[in-house]
Amino acid sequence: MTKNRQGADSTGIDMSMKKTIAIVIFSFCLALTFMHGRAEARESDPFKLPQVGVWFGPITPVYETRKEVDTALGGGAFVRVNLGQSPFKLGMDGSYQKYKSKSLNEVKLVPLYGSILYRLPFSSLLVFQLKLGAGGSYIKAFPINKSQWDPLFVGGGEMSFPLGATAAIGLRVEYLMLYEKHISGAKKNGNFVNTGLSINFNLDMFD
Amino acid sequence: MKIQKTILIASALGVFIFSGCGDTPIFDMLANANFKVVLKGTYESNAPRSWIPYAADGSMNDDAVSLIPGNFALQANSDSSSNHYLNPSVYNSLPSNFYLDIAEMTIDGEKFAPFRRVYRSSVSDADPFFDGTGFEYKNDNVVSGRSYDTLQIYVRKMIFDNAQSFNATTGIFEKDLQSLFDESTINGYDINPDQSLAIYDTLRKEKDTTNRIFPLEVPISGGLVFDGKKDYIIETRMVVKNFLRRYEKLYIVGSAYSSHHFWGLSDWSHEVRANDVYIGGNVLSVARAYTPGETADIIGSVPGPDTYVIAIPSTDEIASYKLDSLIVRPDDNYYALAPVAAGTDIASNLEYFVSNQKYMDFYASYVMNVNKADDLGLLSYHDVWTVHETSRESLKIPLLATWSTGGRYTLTNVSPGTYKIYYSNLPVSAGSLPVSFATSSSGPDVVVLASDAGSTVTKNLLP
Repeated sequence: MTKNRQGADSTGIDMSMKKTIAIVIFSFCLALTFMHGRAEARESDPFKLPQVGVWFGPITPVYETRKEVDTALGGGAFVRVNLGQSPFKLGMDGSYQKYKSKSLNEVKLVPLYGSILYRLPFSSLLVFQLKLGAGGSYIKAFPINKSQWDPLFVGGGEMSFPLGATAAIGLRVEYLMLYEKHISGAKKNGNFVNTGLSINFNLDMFD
Repeated sequence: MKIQKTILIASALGVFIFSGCGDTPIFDMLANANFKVVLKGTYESNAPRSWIPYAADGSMNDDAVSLIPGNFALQANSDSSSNHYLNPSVYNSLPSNFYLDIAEMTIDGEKFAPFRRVYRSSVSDADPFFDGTGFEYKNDNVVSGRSYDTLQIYVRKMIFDNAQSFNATTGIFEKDLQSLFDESTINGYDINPDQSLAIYDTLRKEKDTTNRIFPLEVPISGGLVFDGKKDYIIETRMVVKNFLRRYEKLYIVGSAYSSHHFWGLSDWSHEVRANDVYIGGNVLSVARAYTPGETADIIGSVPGPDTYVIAIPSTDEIASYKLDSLIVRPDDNYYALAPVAAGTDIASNLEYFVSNQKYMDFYASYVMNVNKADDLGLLSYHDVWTVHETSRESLKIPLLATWSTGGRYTLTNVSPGTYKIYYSNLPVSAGSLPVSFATSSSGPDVVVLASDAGSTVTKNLLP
C-alpha cells in the first residue's frame, strides 16, 4: 500500500486552481463592498444593521471523519453587514474546535471564512437565512503531529429571533468541508457539522 | 467606508489563507495508521511446528488432574446408553476451538487501540492464529518520534472448549462446561479468572493491585522508535500452540462438589499442583517491530531434522531464554483447601471444627511470613518464592523463532541488526518449550545490513 507520509508537492494544476478560486472570492468581495444601503433604510429593519455575535454548541465529525474523532463542544464569533436593501448579508466567521477520540487521535480546527447569507423572503417573526461560504481552516492533528491550513467550504442555515432592535438569538447549523482531495495521494476530506445557539448584537454604525 | 475597509481586509485575509494551503493529507493519515498490530498464537514467528496430537497416555493431563483422573472419568461414563455418557474420542482429544476476547490495547500506557475485538480460532494448523500468519488488531496512530517498550493487552476472556464437569465423589459426567463469549453461550471454560499465581499472588500484601492478565504486559523485544513516516508492524506472539495442558479444579456450590476438567496454557513456567485454585503466570508472550520492505530472511542448514531455531538480540544472553530448571516451585506444606464438613452429624462437625482450627493456626503463621524479607525457618516463604518468581519473570521468548524440518531453516522478516542464532534439536514434548540451546561452531553472530533488505542472509548452523 502506498502511503503519503512526507507530504506531496502541489502540482501546477493545483496552484492555478487555488489562484482561480482566490481571485473569484476576492473579486466577489470587492464588488460587494461598494453596495451599501442608506442608514435611513436600515433603521426600519434592525436586522439589516451590521451585526456582531457569538455562537456555542455541539460540533460533530460526520461521514468518514466520524471514525477518527468524536463529537465535542465548540464556539465562535461572527460579523455581518447587509448589502444595501437586498436580502443578502456578507459575513466573516471564526471559531475554535477541538475534537478528541477514545484513542490518541485529536484534531484542532480554527476555521476562518467569509460567507454570503440570503434571507428567505417570507415574513414571520423568525428570520431564516441560508449561508454559503469559503475560506481556510488551520488544522492540527495529534498524534501524527501535523498542522497546516486547508481550504474550507461551508454551507448551512440559521434561524433568528429578534430581541427588539438591539439583539437576536438564533439556532445555526452548518456543514464544513476541509478540502484535501486536491493534495496528491489524498482520498479523504474532513467533514464536520457545527450546530449551536447564537446571539448577535445589531450595531447602528450610521447616525 | 469603515465597513468597506473592514470587508476588504477580511477578504484579503481570506485570500491569503486560501493561497497558502498545506500539502499533507491529514485525514488520510488519521484514517490509515502506519502502525499495525498482528497477533499470533505461536512460539515461532514463522513456520510453526504442527500441532502435536493428543497423547493417549494422558501425558497432556497435568498432574493437577488427581481428584477425577482421566481414565477413571472415562470408565465411570462408558455406557453409551446412559444420560452421562462421555465419548472417549471427544475427551481424548485436544480442544477444537480457542476463543479470545480483548478489551483494548495500549502501548506504554497510551490508548492507541481502544477497540474491543473477539476472535475464534480453530485448533488446527490452517488457522491464521496458529499457522504463522496471525490476525490484525484494529488500532489508531501512536505518537511520532516516541520510543516504546511494552504493549499492554487487556484480555477479557480466553476459552478452550472440550471442558467437562464431573461429580467429585462418583466421577459421573454432569455436563459440558459453558461460558459467555461475545454475548453468546458457548461450550468451553474461561481460564482468564484463573490467571493468578497459586498461593503467591493471593498472599502478598500487594495482591489487590496484582493483575497478570488485565493487562498482559508484552515486552517489545528490541524496543520501537516510531518515526511516523514508515509503516511498522508489531508482531505480538502469545505461546498457545503446542503449549496446552488439561487441568482440574474443584468447584463447590453448597454441598455439591464438582470436578471441572478444562484445557489451559501449560504450567511449564509456573507449576500448577493438585488443589491449586489458580493456574496463572503461564501466558508467555513477546512482541517485536519491523518495517515491511526493510527486512531480510536468514536462512541456513541445521544439524538434523525437527529443530527449533531462534534469533535473539546480540546484546542479550541465551540464559535469559532458558528456563532455570534448578529453580522449581518451592516445596511447601501449604494447605490449599480449607477443611469442609463431611456430613451434618455431630462427629462430622466436631472433626470439621478441629481441622479448621488447625488450618487457621497454620494459615496465620504462614501469612505472617509471606511478606517478611530475610525469612528463615521451616515455614520460610518470602525468600524462596521471590527467587522462584524472579527466575520466571526474567524468562524471555525469542523475538524470532522457527521450526525446521528437513535440515533447513528460514527466519523471515528480520530487521537490520546483529543477532545471535541458536538451535535446539532435543525432543520437546507438548506443553514444553526448548530448554537447551546450541550454537554454530562458527559462532552465534549474524549481521543483517540495511542493504540486505528483500534478500537473504545465510547462516549455516554447523555443530
